[in-house]
Amino acid sequence: MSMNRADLIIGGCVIAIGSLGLWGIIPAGVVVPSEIEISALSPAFWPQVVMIGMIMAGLVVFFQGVFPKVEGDTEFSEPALTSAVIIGKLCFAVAVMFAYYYAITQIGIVLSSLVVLLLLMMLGGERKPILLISISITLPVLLYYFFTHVANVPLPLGMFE
Amino acid sequence: MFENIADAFVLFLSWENIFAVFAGVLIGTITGAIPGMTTPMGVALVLPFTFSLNPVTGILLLLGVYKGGLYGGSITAILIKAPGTPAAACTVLDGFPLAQKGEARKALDIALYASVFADFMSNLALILLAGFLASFALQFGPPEFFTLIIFALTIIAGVSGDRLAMGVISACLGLSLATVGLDIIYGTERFIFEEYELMAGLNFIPVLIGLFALPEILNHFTKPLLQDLETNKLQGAGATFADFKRCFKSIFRGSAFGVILGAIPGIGGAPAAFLSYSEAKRTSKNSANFGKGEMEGVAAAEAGNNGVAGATMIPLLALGVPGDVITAVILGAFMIHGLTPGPIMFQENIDMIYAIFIGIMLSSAYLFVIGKLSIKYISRISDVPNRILYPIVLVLCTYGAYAVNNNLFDVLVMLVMGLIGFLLLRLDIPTAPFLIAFVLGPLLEDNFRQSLLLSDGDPSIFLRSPITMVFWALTVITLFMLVRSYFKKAS
Repeated sequence: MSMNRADLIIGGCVIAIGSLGLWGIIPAGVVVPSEIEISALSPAFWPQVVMIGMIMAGLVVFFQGVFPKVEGDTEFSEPALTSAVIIGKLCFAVAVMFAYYYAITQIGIVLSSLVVLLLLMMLGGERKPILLISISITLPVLLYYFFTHVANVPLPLGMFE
Repeated sequence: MFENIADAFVLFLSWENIFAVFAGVLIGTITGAIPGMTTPMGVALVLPFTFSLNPVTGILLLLGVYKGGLYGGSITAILIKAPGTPAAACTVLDGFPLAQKGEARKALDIALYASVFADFMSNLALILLAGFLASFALQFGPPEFFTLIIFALTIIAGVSGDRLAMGVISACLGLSLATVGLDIIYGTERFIFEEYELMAGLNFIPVLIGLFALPEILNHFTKPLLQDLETNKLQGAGATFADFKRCFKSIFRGSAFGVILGAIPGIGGAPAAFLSYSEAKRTSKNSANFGKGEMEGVAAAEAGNNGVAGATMIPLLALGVPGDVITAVILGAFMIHGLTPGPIMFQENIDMIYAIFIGIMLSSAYLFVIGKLSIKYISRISDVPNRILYPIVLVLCTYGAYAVNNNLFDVLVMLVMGLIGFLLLRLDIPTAPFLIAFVLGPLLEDNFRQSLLLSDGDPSIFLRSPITMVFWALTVITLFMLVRSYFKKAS
C-alpha cells in the first residue's frame, strides 16, 4: 500500500509544532503566577489543552497518511509550484508586500500604494499604460480622501507629513 | 413591544441606514459576481469602512454584503461556470447548461426570484424565532455558555470539508492565537515576548483580512498569466411569472430546507442547496432534464442556498454563537462596535435588534431591485481581470488593516497572517475553522474559567443543569455522526 506523502509531512510537522508549543513556547511565553489554587485556572492551562488537541489532530493526519483512503493519493488539490518562473513571481510578490509595509513608514501610504499597484499589476501581466497609471494614481488618492475626510482616520504620509 | 418597534423605526429611519443596506447588497452582489472574490472576503474588505458609522448602519452594511454575495455567486456560476461559493456549485449543474442553450437571462432571473423569496422566508424565520430563543437563553450562566460554545465549535466540521482533522488543526491554530495577550484573571503575559503591541491580543480585522484576502492574492501569482474561461453571453428572454409558478414548489421547499439547516450552526448553504436540488430532482415532473439545463434545478439550488442567510443569524443574535464563517465575521463586527449579541442584547438593545430586522427585510427588496435592474452591468464585472483586481484588493486590505487602530503593526499582522493563510491554502488546510476558533476562543476560555471560579474548581459544574446536559448530548451525537460518516466514506 502506498502512503500519502502530503499527510505524512503535514501530520509530522503539526505534531512537531504542537510538541514545541507544549514543551518550549508555553513555558517560555506564558507567565504563571506562583500561587495558583486551581490548576485549571492557570494562564498556561488553556494553551496546553489547545496544543494537546493539535498534537492529537496531527497524529490523526499522520495516521491517515500511513493508511490513505485511496492508494497513491499523494497530491495536494492546488497544483505544485514546479516552475522556477512561478516560484520567482510568488517570492517577488511576497517581497513587494513586505517592502510595502516598510515603505509606508518612509514615503507614506499613498505613494507606496501607487508603486505597489503598478508593480503587482505588471507582475500579473497587465501592460496597458493607461490602465496601469490611472488605477495606480486614482485608487490610493480616493482611499486617502475617504479615510482622512469621511472616516476621520489620519493616514501615515511618511516624509510628506 | 410596540413601543420597542416604534423606537426601532426611529433608529432605523435615516438615509444612512437605508443607503447602507442598498450599498451592502450592491457591493455583495458585485463581490459575488467576480470570480476569485468570496463573500467572506467582501465582508472583510467592507468591515474597516464601517468604523466611522453608527453600529446599526455598520452591521446593516455588512449584512447587505452577505446577502448580496450569496446571490452574486450565482451570476458567475451561470455565466462562466465559476461558482463563487461551494453552495453556488449546485447552481452550476443546471444554470450553466441553461446559459449554453442561450437562456442565460432566464437562468439568472429564476435564480434571482428564488433567492429573493428564500431570503424573505429566512428573514421571517429570524424575526419570529430569535427573540424566543434569546428569552430562553436568559437562563444561561457561564457553564451553559461554555457547553453551548463547545457544541458550536462542532461547526468546524461543517466548514472543514472532507478533512475533519485538517479542520481541527486549523481551529487549534486559531485557538492558540486567541490566547495571545494579557491573561484576563491574573493579568500576566501570554506569548507577548516583549512586543507590547501584543498586550491587548491580536486584532480581529487584520487576522480576518490576512486569512481570507491575501492568500488568494498570492495564489493568483502561482497561476498562468492567461486563463481562458468558457463564457456565456447574457441573452435570451427573461423568466416569466408562469416560470416562477412552475418552480414555486421547489423554491418553497428549498427555502424551508435553507431555514432549518441555516439555523443549525455549521451546516451552511452548500448542504441546503444540494438537499433542495436533490429533492426537486426526485419529485419533479422534469427530473430527466436535471443536469441538462432545467430551470427548476436552478431555482431549487438558489432557494436552498439563500434560505440560510437569515437563519444563520438566529443563533448569532439569540445566543451570540455564529452559524458559519460569515456570521463569525459579523460577530466580530458587533464586538468592534461595542455590542455583544446574545440574550442580554435583546434586553438592553432591543431597539437595535428590531432596527436590524427592519433593515434585513429591506435587503430582500433591494436584492430584487438590484438583481433586476443592474444584472446586465454586474454580469460584465466578471470580465475584470484578476491581474488588475488583486493588486487593488491588496491596497484596500492595507488601508483597512491600518484604519482599525491607526497602527502599522496591524498591517504587519495582516501580512504575516496572509503568509500563514497562503501556507494553509497550499496544504489544503481550511482557513474557516481558524477564524471561527479565533472568534470563539476567548468566549470559550472566559466561560470555562468563570465556571470554575464559581464552583471553586469543581468540574461537575459543567453538568449542573439540563441545559448543559442537552448541549453535551448534542456535541456527543454530532461527533459520533461525524466519525461514523468518516468511516462510512473510508469503507
